[in-house]
Amino acid sequence: MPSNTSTLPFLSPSELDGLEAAWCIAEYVREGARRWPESIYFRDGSQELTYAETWRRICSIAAWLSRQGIGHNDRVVMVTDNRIETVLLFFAVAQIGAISVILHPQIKPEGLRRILSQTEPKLGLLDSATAWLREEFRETSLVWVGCENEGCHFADLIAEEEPPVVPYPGLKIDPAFLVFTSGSTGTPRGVILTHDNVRFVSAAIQARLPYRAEDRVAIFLPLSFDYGLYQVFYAAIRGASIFIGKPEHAGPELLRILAAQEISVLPGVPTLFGGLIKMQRYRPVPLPKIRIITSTGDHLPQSYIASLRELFPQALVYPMYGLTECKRVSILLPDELDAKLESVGRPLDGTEVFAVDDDGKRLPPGVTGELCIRGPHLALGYWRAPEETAKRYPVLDGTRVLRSGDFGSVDVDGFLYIHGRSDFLIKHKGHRLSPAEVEEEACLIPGIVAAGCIKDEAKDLLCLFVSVSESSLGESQIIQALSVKLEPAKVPNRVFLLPELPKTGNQKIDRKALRAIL
Amino acid sequence: MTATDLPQKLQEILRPKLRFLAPSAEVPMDEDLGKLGLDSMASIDLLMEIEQQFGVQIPDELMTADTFATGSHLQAVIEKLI
Repeated sequence: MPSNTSTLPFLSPSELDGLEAAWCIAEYVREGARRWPESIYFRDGSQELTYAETWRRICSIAAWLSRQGIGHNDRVVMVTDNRIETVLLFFAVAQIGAISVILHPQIKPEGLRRILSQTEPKLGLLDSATAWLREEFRETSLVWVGCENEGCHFADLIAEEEPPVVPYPGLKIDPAFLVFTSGSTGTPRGVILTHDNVRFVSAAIQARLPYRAEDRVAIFLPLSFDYGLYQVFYAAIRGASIFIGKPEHAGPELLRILAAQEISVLPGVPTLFGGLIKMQRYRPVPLPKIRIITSTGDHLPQSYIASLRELFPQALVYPMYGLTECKRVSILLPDELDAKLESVGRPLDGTEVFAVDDDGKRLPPGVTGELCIRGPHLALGYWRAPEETAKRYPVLDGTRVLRSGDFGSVDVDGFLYIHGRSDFLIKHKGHRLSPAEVEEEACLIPGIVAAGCIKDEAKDLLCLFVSVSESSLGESQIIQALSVKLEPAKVPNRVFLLPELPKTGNQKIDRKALRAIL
Repeated sequence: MTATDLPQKLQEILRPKLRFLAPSAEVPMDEDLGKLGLDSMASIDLLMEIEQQFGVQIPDELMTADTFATGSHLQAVIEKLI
């Protein structure tokens, strides 16, 4: 190390480029277009785009966005079915330094309103599936996919000629997109992921489960769910191809699509694999290409692992654990499955996970506590929610950590085990929800006095306990009323009426006592 | 099984799988089944039940999201097969 910094050689701008201060996630596509221009990047069953053509379209859309005056740190909100256009806009938004917000197409107007008021987008993207939400975008310019009668059409964003490359104006530590998820209260929270977060975690994941150039990766998870979205980065690192499917394809026709599209990598959630196992037992389809099965979002039961290995003997099964606030925590390798039953694997390389006690003190191996995570994959925090950010990302012993909210332990070999979810987050059907969100909506139903939401893990059911002032209110009325206000995965499977709900000392609903009732 | 029994039978199969539908309501045949509470897992159960109850096998080319989109789509497919 030179003692006097003034003796350091002066760096030219191009050398600074080498340090990649301004790397952005669209570089994945630019690099892919350089290395394997003619490989197919995206297919959806009706169209195919090569890496080169994908990059050309992204540049074109980026130039259009710039002409609209959209730039660094502006937000663009997309509410569509899973489709290639959404991914193209997503990369173009990154290239101009703006911030993407991809939302679930089944979002309800109330939830959308809350997110729009938090993010104040400059532009929105809708399609025929979400056209009915257009009223919520009164104050926002809109681009439409597949709705010929509407104003600005997506196809108009793509120019015929070779578009100029709009230089990325930000730093690699800037926000690339927000992933909205349930906060500890009923309000949805946008996790702020930076370009650098994505780059670190994608490389670390690919080190653990390498995709190949000849792989065809299927996305049946919604793009609003980070695990669906991140597949586009992993594929680009290897030159692999993405099949963009829709969540509604994950039913009876799933096997047929996997066979027809020659899918080799299938990322999913336990519910999707439950359906896959059921269908393959009922009416088997040869799937010789399936090589990698990865599961996240919820606990993958041992019985599912055993069935997947039996039905798809050539496939490698990877159980994983993660949360949007850092994307991925750990991955269990296929050859570790038998020795480390029920583990969710080791933390990603270059990251650390440890359990802490109630006072935030580190616990020794094997002892259960709240799992905390450290590493370059930790998101910046929650969009415009400094208090909740400080609570979930506290500084312990001088370094910033993420409190997962999950209870678990780390064994002497560094493998993680999850023993229970916290009271403020529930994972159900691959979705994350906050009980507070369901309880708030329930209490808005006339006649409901109090509500408490918990998950029956053994039966995989979301349960709501309510006390009512009107004796005419029954289980099915309450479920139906909630289905209008909440996304399908957040609607309880069972509702139980109680004369009074158990309360804690400080008058909050006692969810532990409710669990004891089950 | 006669053609006139079909709508009634289909109603009976569909009804318990649509958890967002009011308890006493008939299944609206042109409504999106997803909106009525049928998720992908439930549509696999629905497929199995339809095949058993009607003694049919839905061929691969009809095993699509479109077939399972509404009650009337399902009915049209079953009518062709029995």
